[in-house]
Amino acid sequence: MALWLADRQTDWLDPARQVALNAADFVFDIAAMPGNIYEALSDASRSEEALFNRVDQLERENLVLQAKLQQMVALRAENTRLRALMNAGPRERNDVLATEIIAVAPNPNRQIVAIDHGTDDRVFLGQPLIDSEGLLGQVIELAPDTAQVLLISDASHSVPVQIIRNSVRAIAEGTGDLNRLRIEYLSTTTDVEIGDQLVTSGLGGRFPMGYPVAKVVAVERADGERFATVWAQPLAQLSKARHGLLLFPEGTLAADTRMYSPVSTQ
Amino acid sequence: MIRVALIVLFTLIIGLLLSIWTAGLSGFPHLIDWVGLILFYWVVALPARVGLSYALLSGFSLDVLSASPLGHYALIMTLICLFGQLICLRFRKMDAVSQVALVFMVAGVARFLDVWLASFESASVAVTPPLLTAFCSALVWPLVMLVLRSFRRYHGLTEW
Repeated sequence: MALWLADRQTDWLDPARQVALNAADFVFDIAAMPGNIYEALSDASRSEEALFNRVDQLERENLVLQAKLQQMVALRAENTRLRALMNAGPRERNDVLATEIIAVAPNPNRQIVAIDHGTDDRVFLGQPLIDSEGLLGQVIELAPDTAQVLLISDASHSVPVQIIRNSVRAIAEGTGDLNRLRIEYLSTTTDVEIGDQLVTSGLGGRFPMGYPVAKVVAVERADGERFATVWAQPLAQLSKARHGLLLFPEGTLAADTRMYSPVSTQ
Repeated sequence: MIRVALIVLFTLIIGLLLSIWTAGLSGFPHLIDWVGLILFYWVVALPARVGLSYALLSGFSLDVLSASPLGHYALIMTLICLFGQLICLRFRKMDAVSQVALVFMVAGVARFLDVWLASFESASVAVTPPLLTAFCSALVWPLVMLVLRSFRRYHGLTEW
């Protein structure tokens, strides 16, 4: 009980906790083995025709993405010129590192997943993790080979967001439900509608600006209440995502990163 | 003594792995308290050999793997160990239904303590309903007991 109080109230036990986490790290590695073996076996058992079809499909998707990327480059250049005209600084850009979600932490009260990159890969506390659809969460515990990520739907998690349509800022709080976020402290007169898309606002400096977070699914304006209750659905596949991207400040990852080449986003 | 320690620790690590593997299968992480069940079995079967040190070790492992403050699951495992030590002689003489009922109570108390401690730590919400964990843990108890008893007898582990 004293230990629990000490670890909860102070950071005296952080070194001991780190040593214990490093020692227990192998459990996550072993836990990931069946999934890796299954993937290897299913890769090996695929027929040649299925593989050719898959490559064909990926090539087509790649072509579409390349076309979109060309448009993005032109838009980015235009955006940079406009920002220069307004004397605004260049917008923050990020490097990314592909990572795999290897396990769900055995915690019935919080929503935490483990990923297969840790301090050895320069992962740091508070680092954002995204998937192809949107923001997944942030790193809260680190070991050499693994890290634990708190999902945005956890009840103790909040993320500063803004509505794309009108730039209204708000805070999206987790509810403990993987499919629901609550948007707090929007007055009943605020212009928010069902279908509005929420992106990270960049306030607080924890999450870079402009990453998709959620979509508004319900707006409740009760008579006599000062604030509306707004519910949003996370865009990231919180319960299904197998892979994610760790966001690094631009230039953090060396070009010869040993696992994956960095890809610039935004 | 070392052999007992290795065998008990091996089963506890299997329990940790089962906790992680089953956490991702359903929408409810920690549907079955595998580590608690395995610890409870060993305390009941070998009360003179398995006690507080194993409870603390398994609890600390769960603490770091679930990003909880150190001592959270250590306290819960200690409670399970204490229950096991108190009722081991009577528990062994019970029929299967009574054992399941008692495991339901022990798992339920442990899970409510878990929720209570978590409520002090952060704005957490019990993703898995406490009684559901207790119910599912009690349901798999006969299987856990059969497997671990066969394992214990195979390795010839006795109380003294």
